[in-house]
Amino acid sequence: MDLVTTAVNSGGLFPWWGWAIALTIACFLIGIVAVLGGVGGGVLFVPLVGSFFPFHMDYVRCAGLLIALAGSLSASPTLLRMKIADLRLSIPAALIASAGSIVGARLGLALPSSIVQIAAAALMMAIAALLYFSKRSAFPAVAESDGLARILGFGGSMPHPETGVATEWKIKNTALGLLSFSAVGLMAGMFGLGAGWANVPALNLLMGAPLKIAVATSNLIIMVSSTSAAWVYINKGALLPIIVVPAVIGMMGGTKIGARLLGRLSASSVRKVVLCLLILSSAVSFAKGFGLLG
Amino acid sequence: MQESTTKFAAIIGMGTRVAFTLVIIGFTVYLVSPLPSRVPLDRMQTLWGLPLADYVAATGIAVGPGAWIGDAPYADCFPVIALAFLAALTGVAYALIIPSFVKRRQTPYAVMAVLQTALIAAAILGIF
Repeated sequence: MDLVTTAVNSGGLFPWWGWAIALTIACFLIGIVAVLGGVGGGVLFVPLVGSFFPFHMDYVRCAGLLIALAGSLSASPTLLRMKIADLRLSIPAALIASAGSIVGARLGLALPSSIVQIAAAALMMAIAALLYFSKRSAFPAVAESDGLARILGFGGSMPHPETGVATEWKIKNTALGLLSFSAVGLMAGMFGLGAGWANVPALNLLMGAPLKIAVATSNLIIMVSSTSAAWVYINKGALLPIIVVPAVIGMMGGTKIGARLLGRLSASSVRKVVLCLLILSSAVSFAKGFGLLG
Repeated sequence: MQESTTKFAAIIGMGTRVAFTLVIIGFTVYLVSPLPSRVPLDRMQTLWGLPLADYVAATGIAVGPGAWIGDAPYADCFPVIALAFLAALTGVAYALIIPSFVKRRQTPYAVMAVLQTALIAAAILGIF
């Protein structure tokens, strides 16, 4: 075990191209599992690659943000044309999240690696708990939009998931909801995550957006918050193409295959796999953060 | 909002296709071209486990806003430039939808789009 750990830590297990191929394959598999498990690729990429590959977390976090960005850029045009993603709802949320993500990225690069690793491990456990316990609402009942939502013109109409009849959706808790995106952005920037796991509950459960709208609009928010934080990492020199490009290629391929497999595999089984992966990578991150894995 | 949404989707859709093509071309150049790299690929294995500050010190690469453009003759700068294009796309899309908001007198959204563009521009320029 010590020999393997030492070899992996120094990257000596494979030549550089071996690691690049292994990363592409790992990201391809992560992409499949992420789509089937209903989470973004970044939330699995950062802990898994940070735990099991020899790359320092600074580059993994930068790659995580670029993966999240690439995924959201690819999906957003279709979601906007299908009128599922709501640009109006995304703009204020994204502005607040992107300011938070810049602060998070600065913090992530300034804090000692061990602290970031331990904090990331704790966050992974929290995400696993959130995925396990949170109940999503397909079409939350919101009696009346609040004042700020009315000023910003939030709301719209979509077929109700149960009746199929076009039904108006409204937004509540706008101020609190928008404010929560500063914390979401901070975590996204600090840990290199897309943060769909936090955007969707904020939009759906806190603000009352229908689930489909929340998931699609989350993509637009990720696009902006990942952009802002990624530039902090890029300007500091953390963009290593030999990590980012194989990861993006693998992830894009995996998400396409995952989307095709959607419906053929049991979502609850895949969700259990996602939870196990999060808990496993969290345990390895804790061990690394506390210096137990060298 | 419909006009801005259509425009935003079109810019992102077109830009992403161009960016992905550039990333693939840039990465191919990095892997196979005879051009020298700032950091040779066979050295990466000893460097990618280092914290960022140590990596920058060990390689002596220039960092900061636009440093990757100045180093363009090197093979490893091509994928970085392509990825930088990908990372700038959202800012460009926001900047280009500002006139739609102004034309429709959607002042809060025009202001927020200006602020968002400025924030991304500041991040690109390394102000943060």
